[in-house]
Formats: sequence, C-alpha cells, structure tokens
Amino acid sequence: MTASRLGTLIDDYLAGSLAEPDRADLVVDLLARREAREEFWRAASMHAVLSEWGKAHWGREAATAGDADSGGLVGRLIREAKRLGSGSGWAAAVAVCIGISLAAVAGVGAGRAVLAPRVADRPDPAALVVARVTAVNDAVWTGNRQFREGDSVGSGPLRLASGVAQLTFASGARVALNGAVDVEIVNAERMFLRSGRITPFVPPEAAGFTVVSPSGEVIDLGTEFSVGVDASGLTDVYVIDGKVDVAGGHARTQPPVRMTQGYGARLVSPAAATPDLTQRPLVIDHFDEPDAAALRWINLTPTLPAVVRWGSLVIPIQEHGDGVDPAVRILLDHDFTPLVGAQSVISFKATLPNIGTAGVGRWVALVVDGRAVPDDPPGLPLAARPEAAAAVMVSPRWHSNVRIMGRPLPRGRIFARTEEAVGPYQVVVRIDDTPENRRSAGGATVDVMVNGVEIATAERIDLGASPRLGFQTFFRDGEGQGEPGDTGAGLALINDFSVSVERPGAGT
Amino acid sequence: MPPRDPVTTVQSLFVEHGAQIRGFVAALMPDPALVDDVVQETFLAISAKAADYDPSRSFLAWAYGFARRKVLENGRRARRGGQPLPDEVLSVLAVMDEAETELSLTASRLRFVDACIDELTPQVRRIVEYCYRKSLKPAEAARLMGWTPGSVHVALSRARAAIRQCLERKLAAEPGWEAPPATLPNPAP
Repeated sequence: MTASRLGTLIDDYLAGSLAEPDRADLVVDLLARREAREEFWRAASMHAVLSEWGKAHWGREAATAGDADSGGLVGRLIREAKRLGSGSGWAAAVAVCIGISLAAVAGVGAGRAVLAPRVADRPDPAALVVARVTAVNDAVWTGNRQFREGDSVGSGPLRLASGVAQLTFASGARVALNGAVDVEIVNAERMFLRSGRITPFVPPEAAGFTVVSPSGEVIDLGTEFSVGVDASGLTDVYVIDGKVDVAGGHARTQPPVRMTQGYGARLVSPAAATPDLTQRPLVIDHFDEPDAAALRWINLTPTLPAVVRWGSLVIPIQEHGDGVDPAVRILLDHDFTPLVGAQSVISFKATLPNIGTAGVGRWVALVVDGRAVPDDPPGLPLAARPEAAAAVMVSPRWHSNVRIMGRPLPRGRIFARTEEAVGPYQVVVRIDDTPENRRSAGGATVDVMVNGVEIATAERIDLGASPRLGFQTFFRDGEGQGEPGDTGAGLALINDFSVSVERPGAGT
Repeated sequence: MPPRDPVTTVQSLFVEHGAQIRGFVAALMPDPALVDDVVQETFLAISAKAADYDPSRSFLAWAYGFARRKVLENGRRARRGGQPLPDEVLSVLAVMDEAETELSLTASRLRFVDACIDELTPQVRRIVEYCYRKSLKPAEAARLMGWTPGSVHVALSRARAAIRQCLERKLAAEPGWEAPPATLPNPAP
C-alpha cells in the first residue's frame, strides 16, 4: 500500500468515516507492516493530543460562559468552583472539571463515576428546545440578541446579517445559515426561508424536515441540499447529497418532484405547481478517445502520453526541468448553445494526489477567455471569497473585481497561491449573445489546465454549435503572487468549482 | 507507613497516567463521543482487578490491555464508520514501543499546542477548532467552511503533521529536554 493511501485510510479512521472495504485494507496493512503501525501511531497520537486540547478549551469556555442552562455536570462543576471561592474563576473551574473527573473517581472507587464534560452537539429533547446554535463563524445577527454557540433558539424569526451559523434542531437536522439570511423557525421539523441561502443536512432520523419558501416546499428525505430565495421569492434548490422532494406552491395540487444528487430545481412563484428543473445531467461524451479538436496541449513532453477515459482525463505527472513550466494545458472545447440565456452550473472536481503536495505552494488558476467585451459594471458578480486564494484568470478583454487576499487583481492572467484547500466557488461567465459569438469557435472559454491531476468530470455536456465554452485549470509549483511571509506549507485541493453561464443582463 | 491497598495504588497510578491512557483510547476509538465512557470503564475495570496488578510491571502496559478491551466493547455503540479496529490489530498496536513513546509525550505536547495551532493558516486553524474544539464532524465543518468533506479531511491531515513538527521543534528547544527512550519495559498483561 502506498504511503499516500495509508495516510488517507488512517485519516478516515480518525475521522470516524472509514467504511468497508477500505477498513479491511487498513487492517491488512497494519497487521502486515510495522511501518504502517508506526505511521498509525504518529497520526493517532497527534489526533489524541488535539482531542485533549479541544476538551481543555471546551472546559474553559464552559466555565467562563457560566451558562445558566448548564444544569448538568458542567453547571454543577462551575457552581462548585465558585463555592470554593478560588481566585481565578475559570482556572478553578478547569481544575474542577478535569480534577474532579479523575480525583473524585479515585475517591469513589465504585459505581459509575462522574463523566468528564463533553461538547454537546445535540439539543436535549427533554428540554423542549426547538433548536440550538451549535457553531458560529463571524456571525452578526440582526436584532437585539447576538446568538452565541450553545444558545437555544425557539420558534420565531431569525435573521443573520453576515457570517455563518449552524442550527441543530431537536429533530436532528442541522442547518447552516449563510448570512445574509432571513428565516422563521416553525418547529423542530420545519422552517421558513424568507430570503437568503441555507444548507440543511438532515440525517436519516430527521427525514421529513421541511424548508418552506415563498414559492414552495422542500421536503428532505435524509440528505444535504442548498436552498436559496432571492428578493423576488424565487427559490432555487440544489441537492448536494441524497434526495429531496420539491413541491411548487403550497396547495399541493401536484405531487412533489423527487430530486437526487446533482439536480437542481427552481420554484418560480407560489402559483407554479411544478418546479422548473434547471439542472439536468450534462454529458461530456467524447472523452473516451483522444480528439485533436477537443484537446490541445502546451508544454507537454511529447513522450508522456495522455490517457483519456470516459468522463475523465488523466494527465501524467511531469518532471520539472529545462525551465519548462510544469503545466499541462487541456482545452476542452464544447458547445453550450443550449445553455445560452439560461443559468446553469457545470461542476468539475479535481483532486490532487497527496504525494508531491506536502509543503509545496501550489497554484490554481481558472482561466476565463472570452471574445465578448461586455462593458461590465465594476466586475463580474463572482462569488469567490477573498480568502479562498482561488483566482479567476481573465483574458485581456474581460473585467474582474476579484480580490485575492485583500488585493485587487489586474486584468490579464492572474495567479493565486493556494495555501489551503480551495472550497467551492463560482465564476459567472457572461457570453455576449451576438451573432458573431454564435458563429465563432471561441466565444467564452474557461480553460482547465492540469498538472498531474486527474480530472473526473462528473457531468456530461451535450455538444452543439457555437458559442463554445471550455474549461481550463492548472496547478503550477512555486510561482505567483502571495503574501509576504507565506510559508508555502499547506495543500492545494480543488473541489467542485463551478462555472455559471448566463446571458448578459440576466443578473445573478 | 502502612502499604497502600491495591485499589488506591492502581487508582493513583491511573490518575498519574491519565493523559496517556486517554490518549491511547482517543487514538484507538474513532468516535470521540465514546472516549470518556471508555476511559471511565477502563478505570472501573482496573479498580476491580487491582489485586492482580504486579508493581514490578509497567502499569501503562497493563492499563492499555484493559483499555483495549473496553474500546472493543464500546465499538458496538459507535456511530457508523466510528467502529474501532479489530482486536488482533489493537493488540499489535497496543504493545508497540511507538505507542508508549508517542503517548508519553502527550502531557508535554499539550503545553505547546496552542502556540502551534496559532502558527497554522487561519482557514486551517478554523478547521482544527471546528473538529477538535467544537467536536464537529468533518462534513459539518466542511459546510461551515464552504468546503467539501474531502478538503477538510486533507486539511486535518496536514494540520496534524504541521502541529507535530511544531511540537517537536518546541520540545527540542526546551532546556533539559530529553526525548523519551525508544524502548520501554513493556510486558503484555
């Protein structure tokens, strides 16, 4: 087993997500090789240290919070610490939390001991709490109350102005609120999304959790999905995993539409009984053999063959040398005529191998190369986060207001350094709907370049006439812009970046 | 001074080595929600068998045997994907010198974890806090970050490696620091 795969299996084990047959593979390797067991302990011991660190921090926070709702163990320990009258309240509470959990046990010697405190990630149903705030990230709430982690939330309106927060409902459903968002908590199984975007994750025991929007309902069947409502009440639903039932309107005159992973739907108005399916499977159908028209290579060592498989393109890892950029460029040239005028999301996923990425600053660039010259308002409505370190590379004639690490990017080719994993982001590419673009072989292209990375195209894209849209992304070692003092340590992993093709003026 | 009774002896040793025993359980028990239970049950099991403890032997090795069995017993209660490894693997892992070496550093390492986490990039630090301080699952952390679970997994792996290097650096810089011996007396229970 390669070191890379062993590391992945160990990580999955420590994350509690290792399933068969990977688990069997790990067992075999651990039994067979001492090196594997040594590697296991190196990772597992750090995991244990961090687990202890996390518990110690939890204890301090619980002690300083003095949450009146802590009627359980932590509350008792905090009250005990205060009763003892120690000078430093939180230090004493920590000592009590940790010390009592062991010292009191030592003194008892029989019967079940007092358990050490643990982070509550579920509300106590017995407490009749509809939901609790179980995580916050730079959350700013509208209204007099600023909810903190651990606070209970009852039925009623809830508005998050900015940041992210997670609610865990008594039903078990967890909902991430992405500010700005306006919701109404109905009960433990139902919430109303007035505006903004939320991402519910519904475990099987909470199946049936329902999100109601101005234009319909989304009934979760044990899954994860994203739902957003814009200012006009138009609702978009995208299924990330599992299944949801989507019902247009509220009269239930039609049976709901069952959506599965990768599908999207739009609920147009309360009167529309049937959701409009905005995302259908898009098929790329000629990746199973090399096609000179579809694939172009630059800087590729001719002796290194490229293997094209169905739905994926494997690029061999190139050696550095002779000053040649270790970049491989693949232009995937496809027609998106059926999508012009409509907003679609084409998702690609690329995964870097672990080997060769440790400690190396990798670069990600998404090239947008278009023939059209829209006089954009100040920049394309890009959803790239400034801290994502993912760049949009634009051809000379496109504008961009992307700011990477707080600095505006110039026009032209732009590189950004990936210090961390790059999460999902969207690039909106406007194709000017002109006769010239319709005839041209270029149109707007998003180029995908790959350097030793397997691209698994999860979608098939139907071919057709111009305008064309291609994808290019690449990884490059070492170069590019970065903040002074960047260590270069980190990883570069791109997942699920999307390109949205829309008609100019459609707005986003 | 009259000799202490065996129960008091083993319980005192348990408290003394609590960090290492917890570390042993946390390393082998993927479901963090059960770590406390396993540690407590290990303590009770050791207390019940206190009379069997031979002070000439390694207490930790003896305690690890109990902990290993409790890990397996509680594995049935673990959430899906959180089941521990089978006993034949845990047995081999438990008797390794590396286990003793790594876990003996737990208390020392804890002193510097805050500083090493501060050296992480903000995004990675946030993931570490989500997964270890707030006990969120990687998938939940991924949602909050706007990342995929795979990205979070990789980030955690990188973070552990980076923190480890940092801890080794800081420990090595401590005056009088001596790395623990590679081999410890380790008779299996």
